[in-house]
Amino acid sequence: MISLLVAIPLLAAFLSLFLKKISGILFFLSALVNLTVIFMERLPNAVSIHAMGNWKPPFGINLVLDNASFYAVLIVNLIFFLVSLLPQKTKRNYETSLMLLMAATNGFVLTGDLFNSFVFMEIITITAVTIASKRENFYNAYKYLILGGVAGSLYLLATIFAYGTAGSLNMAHVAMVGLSSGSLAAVATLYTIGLGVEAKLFPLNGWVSGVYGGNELAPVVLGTSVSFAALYMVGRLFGTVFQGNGAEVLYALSLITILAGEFAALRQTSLLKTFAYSSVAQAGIVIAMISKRTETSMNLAYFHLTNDVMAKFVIFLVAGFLVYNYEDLNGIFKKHRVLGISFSMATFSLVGFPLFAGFQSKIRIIMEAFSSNDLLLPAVLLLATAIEVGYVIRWNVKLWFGEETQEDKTSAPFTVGLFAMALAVFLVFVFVKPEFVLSGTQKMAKALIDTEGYIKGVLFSTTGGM
Amino acid sequence: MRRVFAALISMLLVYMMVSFLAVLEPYGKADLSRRVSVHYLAKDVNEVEPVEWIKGKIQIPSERKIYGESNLEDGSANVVTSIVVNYRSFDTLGEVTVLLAAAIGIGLVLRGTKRMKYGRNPNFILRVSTGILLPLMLMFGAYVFVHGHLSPGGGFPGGTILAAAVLLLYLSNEEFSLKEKAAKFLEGSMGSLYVIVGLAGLLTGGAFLYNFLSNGRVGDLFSAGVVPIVYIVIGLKVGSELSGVISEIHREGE
Repeated sequence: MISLLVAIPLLAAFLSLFLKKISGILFFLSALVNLTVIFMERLPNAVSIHAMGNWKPPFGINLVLDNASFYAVLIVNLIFFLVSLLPQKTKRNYETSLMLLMAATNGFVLTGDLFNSFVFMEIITITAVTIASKRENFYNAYKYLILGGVAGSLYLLATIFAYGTAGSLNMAHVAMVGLSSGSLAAVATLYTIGLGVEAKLFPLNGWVSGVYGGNELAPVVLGTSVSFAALYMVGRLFGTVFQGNGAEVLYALSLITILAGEFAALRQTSLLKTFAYSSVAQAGIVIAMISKRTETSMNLAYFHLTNDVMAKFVIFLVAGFLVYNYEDLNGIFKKHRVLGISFSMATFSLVGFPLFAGFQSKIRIIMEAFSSNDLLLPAVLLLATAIEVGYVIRWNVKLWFGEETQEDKTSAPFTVGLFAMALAVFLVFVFVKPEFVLSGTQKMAKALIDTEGYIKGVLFSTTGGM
Repeated sequence: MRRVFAALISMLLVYMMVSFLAVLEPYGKADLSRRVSVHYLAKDVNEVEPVEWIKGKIQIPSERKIYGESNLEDGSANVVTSIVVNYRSFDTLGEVTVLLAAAIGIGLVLRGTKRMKYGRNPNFILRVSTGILLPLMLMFGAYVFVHGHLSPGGGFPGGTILAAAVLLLYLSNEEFSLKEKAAKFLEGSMGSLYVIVGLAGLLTGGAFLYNFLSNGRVGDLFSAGVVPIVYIVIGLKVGSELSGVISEIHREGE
C-alpha cells in the first residue's frame, strides 16, 4: 500500500498537465488520499517493506515503512495537506510542481535504496527550484539550481562509491556489509556535501535567504516538509547506514551553522530573510543532536525539528501573506490581530520562551548536552538564543507597534488565519503535553539508531509484498 | 580573495577525488560474486534466496541464460533494459518525473507567447531534405523505442529522436508551431499510463510495477511482458516533453 504514497501524487501530477482547471482539486485529493493511506497503515511497530516489482531486496528497490519513516511521512503529508488548502492565489500555476514535490518527498523518505533516494532528491531539487522561481525570483532560483545540481552530482558520486565497495545499493545491505575505512571517509564526506545543501549545513546554505526570502510559497513548503525530509535522511544515513561514522564532521559543521545562521538573521532587514536564516540555525541544532547518535539525542533532535517545523509553518505563512500584500510592514498587526497573535506565539516558541513548545525541546537539549558532559553545544545554543531574542523582539515590536503608513486593509484569507492560529495553539498544547509529540519521536529515534533491526527487517523478513 | 578561496576549494576537491579513486578496485579486479548486478546478468534473481546469497552460500551462477528461452525471468534480451525498466523500474519512473519537473520549470521561466522568427528564409536544400528526412526520423525514433527490449536503445533515446524531428521542423519552417495542447495531452496521458501500469501490477501481483504479463520467448517482438509497453510510453512521453521544451524555447514575449 505504501507505494500509493508516491504513485497517487505522481498520477495526479501527470493528469494535471492536461486538466489544468482542476489541478487545485487534484492536489487536494491526492493529499487527502495520502493521509488516508497513512492512517490506514497505522504505526507499523516493525520494519515492513514494499518490494517494487516483486524483486526481493537487495536485488530490487524497496520502500521501507518503519517507525522512523512513518512519522516523517506523516508530518510531510500533513504539511502538504495544509498547503493544498491554502488559497488558490498563492499557488496558481504551481500545483503540478507541488504534487511532484509531494511524491518526491514521500519517496525520498520511504525509499530503502541509495540510488533511488538520489533520483527523488533530484526531483526535489528541480521542483524546489521551480517553486522558488515564483514572482520573478529567477536569479536566486538560478543560484539554488547550480548549488543543488552540484550537490546532487556529489550525492550520486557518493552512491557510486558505496556501490563500488559494498556491491549493492540497498541501504540495509550496505549497512550490513559495511564500507572499508577508506571508502567510508569518501562516502560520508560526499553525502555530507550532497545532503548539506537541502539540510542547510554551513558552507552550503547561501541559497536559503534568496529562495525563502523571495516569495510566499517557497518557504512554506521548502522550509517545512522538504527540510524535514532532508533532516530525516541525515538521520537515516548517518544514524542507520553508517552507524555514526563521520558524525564528528557533522557535529563541527552544525555548530558553525548555528552561529552563522543566527548572526546572519540578526543582520537582515527583510522579514522573510530573517526567518530564513533562523531556520538555518535550527537545522544546525537538529544536525548537532543527530550527530551524537544516542536514543535521547536523536529523540530530542526530531522533537525540536517538529516544533521548529510547526512554528516555521506559521511564521512563513503569515510573513508570506504580509510581504505579498503590503509594501510597508510597520504596525501591520493592528489590522490583522489573529495573524499577529499567532505570529508572535510562533516566534516566541522559536526562541524557547516558556508556555510554548520550543521551550520544552530547547531546555531538554541543553540538559541532555550537560548530562553527556558536552559544554560546547549549550554554550553555542545559549548564545544563539540570546541573538534570537534580539531579532524576534525587534520584529514583533516593529510589526505590532510601528508607525502605520498604509491605510488600506486586505482581508486575510480564512484558511491562512485558521491554520496559523490552530498551529500556534497546538504549540502551546505541546508545551503542556510534550509526551504527545515525544512518544512519536522517541519511536522514531529508536528505529533510526537500530541498525540491526533495520537490516533484519529489510533483508531477512519473510513477509514482504504489500 | 574570493577567487583564492574558490581555487583552494577546487584544489581540495580535486585532491579528495584523487585520493578517493585509490579506494576503488582496479578495472576488472572487482569481486563480482558479492555484487547484486551479477544476478541481473544471469537473470536468476528469483531463483536466488537473498538470505542465502548474503551469507555467501550461493556463488556466481555458472551459465548465462539469455536467448531463445521461453518465459525467462523478465524476458528482455537487452540486459540494460531489464535493469532499467524491470529490476529498477521505479528509478526510471523517477527519472521520467525529473524530466517533467525540468520541462515545467522551463515553461514557467520562459513564458513566451508567440513563435520566435529568425527573419530569414530557410534555403531550398533544407526545406526539401526536411520532407525526406522527417518521416525517416520519426520512423527511426519509433523503431528505437519499440525495439528497446531487444536491441540497444529504448524510450529515452527514441523519444529524443522524435524531438529532434520536431526541432528540424522548427528550423526549416518559419511558420511551424507545435500544437501545445496536443503535446501536453500526450505528455500527461503517457505519464499517467506509466503509473497506471504500475498500479495494475499492484492490483494483480501485489507489488507496484509488477510485470503482470506473460514474458514470452526471449528475442521475440512480443515478449518481456510490460517492458515494451513501458518503453513505448516513455518514448512518447520523452518525445512530446522535449518537443514542448523546444517549442517553449522558440517563443518570445510581446
